[in-house]
Amino acid sequence: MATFALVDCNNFYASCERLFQPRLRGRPVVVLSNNDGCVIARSNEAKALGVGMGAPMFKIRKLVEEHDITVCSSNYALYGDISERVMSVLGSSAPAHEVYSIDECFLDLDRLGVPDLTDWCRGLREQTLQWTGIPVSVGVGPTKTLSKLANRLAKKSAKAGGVLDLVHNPQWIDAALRKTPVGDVWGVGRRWTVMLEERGIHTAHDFANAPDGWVRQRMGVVGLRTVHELRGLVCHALEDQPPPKQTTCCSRTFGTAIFHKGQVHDAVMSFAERAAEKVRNAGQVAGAVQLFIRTDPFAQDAPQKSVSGSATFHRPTSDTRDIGAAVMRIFERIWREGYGWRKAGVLLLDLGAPGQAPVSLFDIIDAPDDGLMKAMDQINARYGRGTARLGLAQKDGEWHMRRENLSPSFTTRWGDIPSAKMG
Amino acid sequence: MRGVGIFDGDLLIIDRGVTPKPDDIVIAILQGDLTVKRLKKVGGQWHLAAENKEFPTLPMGEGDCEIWGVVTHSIRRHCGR
Repeated sequence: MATFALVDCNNFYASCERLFQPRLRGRPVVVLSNNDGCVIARSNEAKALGVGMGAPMFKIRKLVEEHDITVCSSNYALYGDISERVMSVLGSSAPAHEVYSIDECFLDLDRLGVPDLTDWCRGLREQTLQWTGIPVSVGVGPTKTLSKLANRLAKKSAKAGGVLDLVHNPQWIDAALRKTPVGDVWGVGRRWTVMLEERGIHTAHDFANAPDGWVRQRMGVVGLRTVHELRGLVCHALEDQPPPKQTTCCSRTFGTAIFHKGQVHDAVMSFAERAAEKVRNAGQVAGAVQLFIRTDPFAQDAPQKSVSGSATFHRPTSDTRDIGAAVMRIFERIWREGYGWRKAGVLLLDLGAPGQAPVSLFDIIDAPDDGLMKAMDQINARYGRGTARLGLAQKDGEWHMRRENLSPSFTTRWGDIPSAKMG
Repeated sequence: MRGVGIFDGDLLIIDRGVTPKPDDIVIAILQGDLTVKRLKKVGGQWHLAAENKEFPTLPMGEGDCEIWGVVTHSIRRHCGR
């Protein structure tokens, strides 16, 4: 029988913050989204105090003060690096794995052949904790959807000890389905949850027993696959080779609304640089570029505007000079005075492998690759992002994110390596 | 930790994959701080010892202290630039 495991890091961002700051252990910790907006991760202690997921910072300020909750700005340099460590431990332990998100990984345990899978999963938890310092939970099921459901229960139940295997304990599947609200099933979003609830489908068990025809009519083949997976029929295989990306995006919400043209210009040029770098890292080239800027939809009394523009490249490119020049032209075209701009982004579209695109008769190969981009990327890889840049934008513009409680980049910057007391 | 050749400002390589054994140099969590100590086992009881005789040897109790990782190497800087 197919055997999938979903390994999920417990309160991942909060666990990362604690790893090199042992003072935070056993204490309530929350991590905020970009610009210190809303709560996106909570330690168990913070959950127990009633801090809700997604709660805006201004709403929990009183709670934070009363209980001395540690508030962290999100530090993606740290989380990304710790994630890689966790994934490499998991990947080397299982026959095949699929990194599903920054803190989740599917494992294919079909051909593992161990006498007691729960024991093996406990061992994997211990090893991951010892090697990386990050606690994880493991859910095992005959389908990906059931392994995700098992993981959620493994985390919730104190008895499970962080591991729940539904493949070798199929008698638990029924109870597991009954215990899971339909909105917590993998792939069931908020809209579907409302629709299903209205029709009396409250649990995963109700959903698994819904008639195929009805599900198909209401939710299409995607919904039907979810139902089949809940019944133990594999519809989603492990994707260990993610398909190459079609688009890449670099966008940010600014720390405050910006009216000044030069500052927005600096922001979008930085995004162009970053997006170009991402495409080069993936070994791709872009066929088109799109730029958007918009005001703050939550500032209801301020005038609202959203503008965008795009350009195509005659010759697909990943060169920051081409992409930057195109973004600059679009920016000049779409810029409007008098608005408080709050968010901007650069999208690179129509991505492909270099040399894949046909060269047209009138293409002038005006800029043979001079190796400048490669040299720049190498310098930045070695000395830190932004060390070598084209003079497109000022480095520390006002558009930068608000990150008032940012922890050091303990694992990715020499100057930030944690220090220990001598004793 | 001068006795074992670790000086202020040295860079330490920590291996979390190594299971701590008696006489290892370790990073321990003590009162919320990362601290360099020598791990000792005396009569079945784990202790954290300092090479500096002025610091007391501490028995490892429940919960309040923990081994973060084992020090495998140290690197010293010889150039101030």
